[in-house]
Amino acid sequence: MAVIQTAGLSKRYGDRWAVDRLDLQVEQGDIYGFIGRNGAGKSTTLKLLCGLARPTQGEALIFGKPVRDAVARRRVGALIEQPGLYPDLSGRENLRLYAALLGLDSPDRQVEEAMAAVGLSSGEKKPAGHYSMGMKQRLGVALALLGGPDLLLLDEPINGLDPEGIREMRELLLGLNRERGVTIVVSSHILGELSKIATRYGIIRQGRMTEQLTAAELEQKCTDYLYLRTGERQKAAALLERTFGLKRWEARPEGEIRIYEPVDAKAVGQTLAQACIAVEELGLHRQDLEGYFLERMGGSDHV
Amino acid sequence: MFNMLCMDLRRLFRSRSFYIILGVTAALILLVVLLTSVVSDPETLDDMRASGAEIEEIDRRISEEIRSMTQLDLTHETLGSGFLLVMIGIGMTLFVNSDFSSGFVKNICYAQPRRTGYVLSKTLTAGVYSGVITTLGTVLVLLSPYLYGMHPLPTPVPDILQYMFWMWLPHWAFAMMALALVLLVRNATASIILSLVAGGGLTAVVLGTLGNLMHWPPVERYLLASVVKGLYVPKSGIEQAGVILVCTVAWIAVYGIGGLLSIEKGDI
Repeated sequence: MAVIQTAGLSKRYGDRWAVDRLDLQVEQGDIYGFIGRNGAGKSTTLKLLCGLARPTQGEALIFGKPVRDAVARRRVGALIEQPGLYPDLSGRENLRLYAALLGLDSPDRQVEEAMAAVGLSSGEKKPAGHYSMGMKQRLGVALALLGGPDLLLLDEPINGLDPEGIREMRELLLGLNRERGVTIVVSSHILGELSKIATRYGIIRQGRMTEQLTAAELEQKCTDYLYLRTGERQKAAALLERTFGLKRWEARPEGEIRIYEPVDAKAVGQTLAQACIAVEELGLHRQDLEGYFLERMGGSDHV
Repeated sequence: MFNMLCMDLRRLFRSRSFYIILGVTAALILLVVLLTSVVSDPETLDDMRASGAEIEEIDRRISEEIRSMTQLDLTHETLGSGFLLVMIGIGMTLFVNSDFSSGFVKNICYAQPRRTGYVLSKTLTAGVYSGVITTLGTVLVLLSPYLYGMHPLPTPVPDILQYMFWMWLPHWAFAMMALALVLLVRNATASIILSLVAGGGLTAVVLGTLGNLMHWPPVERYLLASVVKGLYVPKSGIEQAGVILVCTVAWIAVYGIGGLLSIEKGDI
């Protein structure tokens, strides 16, 4: 079941399209890693999904209902950009206010649980304005957890956290996903961290979804591969498939053949030479996860 | 909307800015009443004259007038200047603006997507805010003269309650001005400046002067500062009560709708 489904979702600020005909689909139980450069449209998309911004075109459904549907909304928790906290009130009081806003039963108990879940002490009397960035971030996640949501939308939740905090956040999100079945959409710049938890990815570039893929598909795409270029692509592909019994290979639109199975590059070269197929380029490509994302996000600066 | 009102009231009574506004209001009222008691005391005037100060007949007449005032006269002399309007305007500005400066408005509008609910809740909170300040101001002006040895003529309690009620209404409408401005510009500066200017009566003076020059009808008398400064209920009777009521309803409607349109049209 699609928990989030958008169709042609677009948002224009002035003459710039921050989100441009975005089709996004998040399935029940996913941890959806939402990836893009600064200004790619991640936060705007999450704002549109939260109803904090109105789409210029297109629509978004959450649990099959429009974004503004109150019942669907009750099932979603969100942390968008910086956590919104009253600086002169304690973290606990901020949560208590939000619990009042949600009209929760036994709000004090739920506040205690949310604070415990993110590793904050409920006895902390310090005003939230004096919290460190990491503590504010935890409090923001605690706000999102209030009310026991089925879907969490988290925008950069590990910003400002120390390595220990990042690990705790990762375990928290994994726990929520595995134990309570919470679907999570998480945007992050820290790709390595995201890859430890995400089951599905969406890559956004200049407001457009460039690719959506599962973790398994990503793994396959990031596997080392042998590439070759030749003028007789179809003939070469058929020959190699027959000779080496290839199952995992692809002919790229740009004219390249990629072989994702361990084959000897020298043997491939010799086979093609014996068949009188001229090879323009032959080599082994090694790509890590970050490289893959960078390539699709449109460059390596400001990931 | 009920949940949001619960949240707003809970925050109001826990926010530091609210107690700072209450404290400043109380301190200024105590100071004004102290000065009034000094001016009204004939012995003090004699002492001042003996020490070389120029005391004229008009000073003595004012002193005599103050001594013969009722509790309600003294209250209105102190509060009718629009001083409470300024305090309520600034206080409400700080209260509403903290939703935006803290970013908590994202949580609010996310949990309660209907902006109408937000504006209605803030409208009722503005009523509570202005009610608390009006009550505190009135009670302090009624009680503090006794601290300084003044004994104004007693006013019946029903008259005092009636006065508080009719003062509260324009104060509430003025708090709505602060709400509408913050929702429009999403920062506190413009609203604080306008609270000082309009609450102090400058807008009414400017509009009145322009009206005289251009031969407009006297619309300035329907501004909230003029309503507060004008003759007060119960002394002025049903006509002034009607003006206050109509002005309050009209201004609350204008500011409420303006605020709603401002927050509806913009993204959070």
